[in-house]
Amino acid sequence: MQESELIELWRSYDRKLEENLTLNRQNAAAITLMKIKSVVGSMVPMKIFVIIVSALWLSLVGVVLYRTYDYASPFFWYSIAIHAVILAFVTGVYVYQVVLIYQTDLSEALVATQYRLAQLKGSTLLIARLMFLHAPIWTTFSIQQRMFQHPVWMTVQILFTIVFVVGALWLFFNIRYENREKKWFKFIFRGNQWEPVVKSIEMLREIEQYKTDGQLIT
Amino acid sequence: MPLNRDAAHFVNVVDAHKGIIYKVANAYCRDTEDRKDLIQEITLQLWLAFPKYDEQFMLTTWIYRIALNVSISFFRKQVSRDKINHRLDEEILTLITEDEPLDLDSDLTMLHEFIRQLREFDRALMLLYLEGHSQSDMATILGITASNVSTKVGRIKEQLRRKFSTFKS
Repeated sequence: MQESELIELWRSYDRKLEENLTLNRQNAAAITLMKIKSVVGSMVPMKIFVIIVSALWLSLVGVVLYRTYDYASPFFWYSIAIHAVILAFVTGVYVYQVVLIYQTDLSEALVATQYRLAQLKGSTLLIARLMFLHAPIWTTFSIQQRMFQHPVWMTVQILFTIVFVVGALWLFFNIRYENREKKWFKFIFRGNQWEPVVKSIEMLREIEQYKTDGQLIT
Repeated sequence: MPLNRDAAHFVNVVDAHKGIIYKVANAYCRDTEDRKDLIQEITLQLWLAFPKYDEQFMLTTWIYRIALNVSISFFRKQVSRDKINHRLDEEILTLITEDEPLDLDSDLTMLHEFIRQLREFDRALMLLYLEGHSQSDMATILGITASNVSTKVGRIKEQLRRKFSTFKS
């Protein structure tokens, strides 16, 4: 089909639409009366709530770590310190998401807006990875030195912790878009809330492709 | 003269550009019910952005950007959209021949099908190309360079040509 035929074909569609398409003005006016925030903007209160709670918790944990440095069990102290560091990263991701939300403007150019939205959604996967990475500390923070006097207990504890550490590290490094079709990935990230996350990462890849094909403008 | 931003003028703007909204929604949503939702979402986002409309851009550019951005994001945010926005009982845009599809000849039906098979950004480019936009307009709406637009449109047209000839042979 020639280019001119293609354009003429589309114009014929245009004409048909013009003859058949009508606006329900009453419904369009009803939209202007809806008390609705933008979908993207509606995510902000929950994220800010999480940031505030995390910041308060981190402050409390910081005080505990500072006050107990001299006498706390090293297992407790380092476990809680690792928890604080990972939680600080997670909070940082939430702050980054709020910044992205405030930067999002649907009337901006397509590629830039979609990239921002896809980054926003895709970063949820990073939060999940960090939370998995954080899991082993729950097996170590309550270890007491006297437990090492019981070889059986000590063996069970070490095995338990090793399983958690290996599992957490494996998940942290393997939760990637490339593994999205694997059974274990689908098992962990099943459900409606995760599907958009995976699709967003797919979109990020597509945009990266656009970036390599040519220069972006803003 | 500055644009009046009240609700009555907004409805007039939507009325004057309803074809754009419908065509974009139709390119990204095959299902009739989903398309109704998408048209409502586009209209809603246009209304929310209306007070901030920057008159240095043409109104059509602004409408295309919002309609395309909403449509591309639409498939990713189905769940949260359902939670937040009220669904209107009736649709905003109605095709008079609602009970039966528009009498599209087979070439046009095929063209629609081919467009829907394109990736999200390529679909937007093809729509804009068929609508007769200049390369510079397309570059502004997508946020890529005009030369990039030219390369991509060339590739997509070639794809379409091949599909048409395969289908017809």
